[in-house]
Amino acid sequence: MNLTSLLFLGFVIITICIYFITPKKFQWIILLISSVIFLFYDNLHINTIIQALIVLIPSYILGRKIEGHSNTKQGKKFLILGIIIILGQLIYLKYTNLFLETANNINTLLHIEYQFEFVQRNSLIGISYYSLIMIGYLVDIYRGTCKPEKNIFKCALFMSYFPILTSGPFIRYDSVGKELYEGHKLNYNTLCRGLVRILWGVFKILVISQRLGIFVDAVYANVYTFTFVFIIGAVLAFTMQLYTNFSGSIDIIMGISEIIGIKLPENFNLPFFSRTITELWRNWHITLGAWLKDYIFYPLLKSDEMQDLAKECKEKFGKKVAKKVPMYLSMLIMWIIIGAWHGGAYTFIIGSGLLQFLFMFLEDILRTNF
Amino acid sequence: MSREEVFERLNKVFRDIFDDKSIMVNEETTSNDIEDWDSLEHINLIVAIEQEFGMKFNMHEVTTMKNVGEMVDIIISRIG
Repeated sequence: MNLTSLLFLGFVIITICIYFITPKKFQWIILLISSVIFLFYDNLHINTIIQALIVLIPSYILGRKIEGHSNTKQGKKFLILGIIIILGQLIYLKYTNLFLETANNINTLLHIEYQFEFVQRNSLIGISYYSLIMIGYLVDIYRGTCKPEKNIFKCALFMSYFPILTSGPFIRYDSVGKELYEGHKLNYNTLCRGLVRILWGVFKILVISQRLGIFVDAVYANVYTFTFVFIIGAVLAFTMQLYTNFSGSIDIIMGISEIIGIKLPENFNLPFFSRTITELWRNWHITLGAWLKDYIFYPLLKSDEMQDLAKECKEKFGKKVAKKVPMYLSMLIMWIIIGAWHGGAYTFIIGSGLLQFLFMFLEDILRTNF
Repeated sequence: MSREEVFERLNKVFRDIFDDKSIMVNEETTSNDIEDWDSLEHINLIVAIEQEFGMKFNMHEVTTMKNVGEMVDIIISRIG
């Protein structure tokens, strides 16, 4: 269901109307029903139902098992099991073809004729988002930040809250989770603010992004027939097209949630007014950055392996290098994950991952030494 | 170990990590009070403190402690 389609508009209006005429205690059930409809509307199949259950059931059961074993070895075992199941499915669904492509390339290099055939994977909308959100949920229970949800249907709502399934933002159980079940009264001010925000989002997507898209597509389709100025113009226009589409989607999502009464975390903060690449990424897709920082970057940097590396570097190269090497290595791993998360192809791993790491690496080296 | 002794050893770690001999932390000191105390240095600092006191912070504590006072509370609760 496209966020700017009339179908989605109708779906949201019906959801909101039923939500507010339902007694507060049962409002979350309306959100759950809408979320399930949204989740399976384009893709109702036994496989996709199983895909959703493969995330929901381990999250629910292991979440409850981890409770009481926070920061213990036993808790860690349950946590790792949950991560393996959820991440395993995500990798299987999104990256099988990437692995096959790599195997084919290796075969070609080794002059082996055999080539693997690519497979079609029918994955559920939002799987990249809700898989990470539920991993975060399990990690938070393990760390003792939140208590697990006792009602599996409420857990299902946290996993599948429909506005965030297409573009985020990433939510956390300790901040957004409870708001989903609380129930809300229709508030005139939040209704107006939400509607304005939705309109802004629709304007960004339909008027700016899609108009720029016409120009970008024309140039990108026939690059050799255009002059340098047009090509540079198209590259810049594509950046703006991407930003207005993404941030417009977020505006629509935030607007809907605001009307319902659920406060979601902001995902953008004027990224193109940043002074450095590092700052730009801090202001772009903020909740993904925060998720990665809390669940991957910090634990990596604090791991015994990284600390051993730091010690070795300190002995051989001194304190400054010892600080930087684990940081760069953790950053590299994190950016490869960011690239891969955006899509199961090398273009994403290089363009959205390695290249950005390189920019930030150079920025830090230049800033430190000049 | 008394609170004063913890602060004394903490000052040593802070001075070493931030290369600044004039640092004197107190209960209310936060990352805003020390120029180079950003999110990266925070992890280096945490690891150095763990080594100094032979204890471990969990990730929840690492990301949520608000000031040095809270840090000292956790250290004392771990080392007894």
